[in-house]
Amino acid sequence: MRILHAVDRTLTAIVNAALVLIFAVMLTLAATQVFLRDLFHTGIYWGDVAARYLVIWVGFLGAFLATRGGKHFHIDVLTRFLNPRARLWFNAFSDLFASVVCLLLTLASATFVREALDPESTVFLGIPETALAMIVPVGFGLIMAQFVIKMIESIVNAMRGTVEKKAAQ
Amino acid sequence: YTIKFATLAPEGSTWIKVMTEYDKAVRRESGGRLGFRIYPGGKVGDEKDVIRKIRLGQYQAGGFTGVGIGEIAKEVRVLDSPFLFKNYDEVDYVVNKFESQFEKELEDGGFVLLGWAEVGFVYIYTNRPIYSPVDLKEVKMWMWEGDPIPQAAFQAIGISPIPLSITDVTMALQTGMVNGVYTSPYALVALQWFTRVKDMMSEPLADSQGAVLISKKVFDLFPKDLQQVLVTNGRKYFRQLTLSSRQENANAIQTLKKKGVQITYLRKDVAAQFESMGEKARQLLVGKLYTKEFLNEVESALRSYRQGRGK
Amino acid sequence: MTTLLIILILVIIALAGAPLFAIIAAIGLLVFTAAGTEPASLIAELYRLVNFPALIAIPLFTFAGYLLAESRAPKRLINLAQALVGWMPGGFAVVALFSTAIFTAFSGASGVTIIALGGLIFPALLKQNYPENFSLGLMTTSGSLGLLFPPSLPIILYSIVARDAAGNSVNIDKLFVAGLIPGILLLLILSAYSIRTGIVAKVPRNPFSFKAAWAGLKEAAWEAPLPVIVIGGIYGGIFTATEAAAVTAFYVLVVEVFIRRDLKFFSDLPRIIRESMILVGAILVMLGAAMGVTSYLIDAEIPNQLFGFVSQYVSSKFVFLVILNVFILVMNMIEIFSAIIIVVPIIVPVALQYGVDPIHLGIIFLLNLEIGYMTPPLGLNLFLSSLRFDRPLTQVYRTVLPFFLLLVSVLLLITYFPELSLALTGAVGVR
Ligand code: NA
Ligand code: NA
Repeated sequence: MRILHAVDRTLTAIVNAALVLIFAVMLTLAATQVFLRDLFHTGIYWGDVAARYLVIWVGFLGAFLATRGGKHFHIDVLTRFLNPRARLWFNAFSDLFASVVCLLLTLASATFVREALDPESTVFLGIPETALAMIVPVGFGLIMAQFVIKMIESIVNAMRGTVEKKAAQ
Repeated sequence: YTIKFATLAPEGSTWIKVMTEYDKAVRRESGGRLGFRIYPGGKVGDEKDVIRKIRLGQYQAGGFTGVGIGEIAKEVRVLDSPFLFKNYDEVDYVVNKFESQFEKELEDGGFVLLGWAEVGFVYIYTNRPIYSPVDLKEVKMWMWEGDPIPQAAFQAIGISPIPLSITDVTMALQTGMVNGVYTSPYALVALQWFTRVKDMMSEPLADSQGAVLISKKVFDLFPKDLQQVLVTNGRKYFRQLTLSSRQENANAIQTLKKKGVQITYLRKDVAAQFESMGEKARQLLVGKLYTKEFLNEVESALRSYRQGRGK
Repeated sequence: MTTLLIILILVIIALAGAPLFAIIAAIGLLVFTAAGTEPASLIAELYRLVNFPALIAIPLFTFAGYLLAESRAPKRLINLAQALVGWMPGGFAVVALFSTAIFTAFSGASGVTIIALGGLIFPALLKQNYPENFSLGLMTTSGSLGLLFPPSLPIILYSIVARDAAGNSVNIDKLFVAGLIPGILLLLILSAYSIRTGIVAKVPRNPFSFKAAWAGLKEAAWEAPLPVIVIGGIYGGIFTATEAAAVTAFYVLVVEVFIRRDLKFFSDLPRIIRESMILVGAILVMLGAAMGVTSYLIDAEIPNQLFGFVSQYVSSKFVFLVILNVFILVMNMIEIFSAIIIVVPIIVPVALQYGVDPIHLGIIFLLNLEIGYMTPPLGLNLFLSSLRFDRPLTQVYRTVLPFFLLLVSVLLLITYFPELSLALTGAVGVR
């Protein structure tokens, strides 16, 4: 459990930092582009394309953090009425399902990057498209890892009956 | 076999009509063993999306312009390079002369050429007459984001364009964010951009080549006779399509004139100025799209063709 | 049979609380595999997001909305509005309507409005002697007002999703313009009701004071121009919606962090970026997964079959729209963003065949979302309101009823008169 938490914390810290950094670049790029366009009648010719790729990056990192916080869209009309312990079992089941789906998505994305993209194709500033698209398999992989960690946590807590402590938080 | 075929061309366009005829011919000559299922109007996505889906096997063939072709075989885009051709005879000559080389590049990219489907000459349209490159500096020129060819062309001319995705251009023309665009006359009319421009430069910026391609993996699965049916008819029908688009573009120029768009004819020395800028632009694309040797080969073939015709 | 069984299982898993993006992706993986297509094709669909020009607007507007919500801007805006229209009968209720509408337009209608502004407005309404039931109903309703005004996130999402199904005619700038008249109509009708309540309940009025108005204006001098810049900029054709997003995010950042200093650069900003991007991430993975399923549906011509089926029973366009309204209303109670992402791609092609303009449909859809938020028993605002104001759910259900009826009548008007939505799209510079 402790190792799991350490891994989780480190991963989250790295993602946090990367997210803030990439967001800053994205906002700067988008704002610069508007200033150049509307005030100076010019623009960075790869600016919009780059900004959109950064949205995908930011999105996957955000989705990773959403997993931890249980912030993915879900229906809780039923689980809302369960007792805390039963809810933990339901959570574990949902997380198991999500982990399996994310595993399949990771594999599918890896195939996508390998087969659908041209390894020599570059998008902007000479950055290969495959490198930019790598966030898709990596993102789904990280999200899967997060679901697995959550699932283990839920199961351990449900079995230990540390429900009260959790619920009080 | 059913070949799933995707294109940006909209339903009801000449493009789709010819494609449907091609499909009929293929079905007839293959005895019903082979046919297309056509997905028009960008239903499947833009050209790059279609190429990715063909690589994954979800679709098998598509109609592409430079955007897509550049993703498969960059060298072929030499045909789209700035101020290279002066008329369609020159285009036909170069396309024929280097066809086997282009085909090889496309095959290395995983695709087999069924036929060339040219978009046609692309002109510059502005809100003021352009008598010289200096006049262009006063124009807020649009550039299709991420396309290296106009980027090189405008860099050589010495102007810094405003990059926008094509879907934003109508809006940008209306707001005055841009007041200069480039495209084929036919597209200018179809996209309704012509209502926002006053002048058209007589010298084409470039020719825009298109191609109908099928996945090589799929093509190789077909028996020889079916391959033959596909290629022979492809060449025939898409050549027809190319000729009709040339006609449509010529008609569109007449429409533009009627709608009050002025055509500025360049003085000889100014045209020469643009031509040398074109040369410079083509050099800027060396290494990005094609090798220096290949460009030289194409340019010198064109030069001797022009001399041969006494021009 | 197997299909039904699989659907049933997935519905059960969804009800057990599994993330919806995983459910949708599972459907995508299943249908692609069943059709003999490489599952990576699902990712090819998701990857198409990088082509959508409006994509950048999602994170930027979301970020700006979160920044505003965390700053003291809402308080300043309410003070200003109070000073400007507090003298009218029902004045403060009208203030509540307009300020929550603006706030919702900027915060993306994720329910933040009730949480963030409720604490300021609800006690003030009670203090001014507005009836409790009216105030509670008003707050619950106001949580989703403003959805029709730029830069509301649901509008952006609709334009992206519908664009895929209906082609480029669904332009985000057009949608922003189309929402203006219906949005204002809605506010005016609710204002009229508020003024009536103000008169009947004999709510005391504050005399208008130039001094207070000036003070309010001075205090909100930085934020007050924002709606004007964004909405005016888009309607006036000064910039596109995507540009408005960049301008807004940048402007709000500079004002709240450097000029107003409501928020600290190092301690608050990274947290707000993170929190807003969590919402963006959740939306994007779901959007990506849904695009895969949509492409399958379109490929398999499901919307055509649906149209064929429906048109056997319904021939009138208006009757179709009314039925559609009921259907969307039920769907929307579940979850707003999911509803857009899942439902729009299926109904847009069907509606097109009935001759419904996709822009008009968008406004109908968004107004439905607005109502879905407050529709008993499952609308999100009802829960938020009950939680935030500490009132039993049953009381909340009762109090939203008059508002619900008003909103539904506006919805019928908008449905029956497409001109209300479409008139401006032709008149203003945007086409
Ligand atoms: Na833009
Ligand atoms: Na699609």
